[in-house]
Amino acid sequence: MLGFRILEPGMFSTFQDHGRLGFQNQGMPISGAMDVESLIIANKLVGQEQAALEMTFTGAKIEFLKEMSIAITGADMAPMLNDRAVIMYKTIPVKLGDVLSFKGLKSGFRGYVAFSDKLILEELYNSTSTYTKISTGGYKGRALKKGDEIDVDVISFKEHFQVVKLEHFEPIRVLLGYEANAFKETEVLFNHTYEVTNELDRMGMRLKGEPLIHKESADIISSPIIPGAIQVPKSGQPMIMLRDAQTIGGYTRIGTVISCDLNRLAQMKPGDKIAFESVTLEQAIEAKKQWLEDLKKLNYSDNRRNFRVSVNGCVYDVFVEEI
Amino acid sequence: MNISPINEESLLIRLGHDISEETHRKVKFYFDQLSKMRGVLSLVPSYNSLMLYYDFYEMDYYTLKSDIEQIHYDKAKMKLEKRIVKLPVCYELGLDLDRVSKHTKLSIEEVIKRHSNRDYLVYMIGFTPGFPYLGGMEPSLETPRLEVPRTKIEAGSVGIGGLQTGVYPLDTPGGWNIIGKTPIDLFDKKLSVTLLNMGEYVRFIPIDRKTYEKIQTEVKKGLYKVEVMTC
Repeated sequence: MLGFRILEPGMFSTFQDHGRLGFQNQGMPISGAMDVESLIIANKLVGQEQAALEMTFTGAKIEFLKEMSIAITGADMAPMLNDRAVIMYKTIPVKLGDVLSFKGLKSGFRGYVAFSDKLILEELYNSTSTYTKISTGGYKGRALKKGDEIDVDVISFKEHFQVVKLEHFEPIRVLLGYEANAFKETEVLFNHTYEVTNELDRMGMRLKGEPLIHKESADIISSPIIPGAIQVPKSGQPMIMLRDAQTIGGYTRIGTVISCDLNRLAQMKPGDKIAFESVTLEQAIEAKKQWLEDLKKLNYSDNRRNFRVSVNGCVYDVFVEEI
Repeated sequence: MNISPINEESLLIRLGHDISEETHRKVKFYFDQLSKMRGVLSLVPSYNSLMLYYDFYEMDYYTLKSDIEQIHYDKAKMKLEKRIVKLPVCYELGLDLDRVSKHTKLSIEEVIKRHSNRDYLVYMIGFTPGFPYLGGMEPSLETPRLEVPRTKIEAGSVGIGGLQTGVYPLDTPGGWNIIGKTPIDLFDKKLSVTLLNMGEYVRFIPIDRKTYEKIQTEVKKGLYKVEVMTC
């Protein structure tokens, strides 16, 4: 049945889940949510494990065609429900006719909306992530447009959770690769900040800053690329390959951003400055373990307060929640 | 063989320094061997290396590295069977045949003769889903890429870019010289299948426009069966 209708799509909104790992040898990138942390938390708040709506820079305006629960995580785009501010990182029950909108980006770059009902989306290789290059997955393999209506299967979900957002303050951690030898001085990457340019999408992020000079050629025999790989062409300006990047690349790579820091890159927008830190394999493994621990330790508490109220001799159990 | 970590859940196995059938055989050997290994989530071959994604929870880099190093390249274990996929190509639809002919100083007929009916090795699939990196093109056919790339090259276009030849499985922008078109789908979205695989061979079979249209109709109806030869 009809779940919700898109009144305004936002700059670039697609459905993304964890992506399709295992098909890169067919030229199929993993795709999936750019900020996996926000996807995981949003889904937990609505009891789901499926794709969420990933919104870029501007949020979507959504009219609900039936009741369900939603949750908003990631970038703060000043969410409103029926023109009243609502809280992020919390289960929000919505009913038929409710309209979710976003006043404007306050921090971050990509916001996520998860839904308690099961979304009926196009699937490829066990994933409903949208990969627009081949018009596959998600809603008709493309970014949402005004008027799009998304079908859902009803799932009964009556919980009310809230959670505290995880904060990250470390620099972006990079594991130097074997091609680091192709560069005169890898330290340059770690001693300067790099600015995110306007050339930024789900395939990659071009940076501007102190050039990374090659000893000889910037070209290599084409070899596999993973999300997080930092390719450096002749210009010396690094580009970080992201989730929709081509699976094979031909430029020297200085190293790879560790996987949990990709979530933070997802929240960076043009003009933001990035500081990189060199880590060892052990430190990279420790970082991932720590991140998984932090996720596990999150307390999804009931966000309502319970009162016993007596009115005219009758006793009521009342739940009160902050909107 | 050289193994190094890429991030905390993937590593790169380097098996050679060049683009050659010998190095390719090594890559294919390890691809086949490691596909069976527990905890391996993805294997991506390229000309001279193999990338491996492993299960972060189950595997650790040093154990995996050591396990891989114990697999010795055994030529004898390689299947000698050669799979040749015959791709019908209508060279009449080659938008840049004139350009290639002029650059190579060969007649159009000669270009077609030297391009078709040879077996090209599929070194790997990448660039877009289903795009084969082919090896074995006649060096006399080398033609530089277009100075201004096209914003759209239609799916099925067969091209020459420098010393390389290939087929575009999808509409994409690109700078290769288009010398023909195949009515075959190299990437079937409905069945989630790429037609070509690493280690197979592609042979371009010239067809005329009428046959092209006939096969195109059959493909659209799901009735066409691609001819594959094994020897």
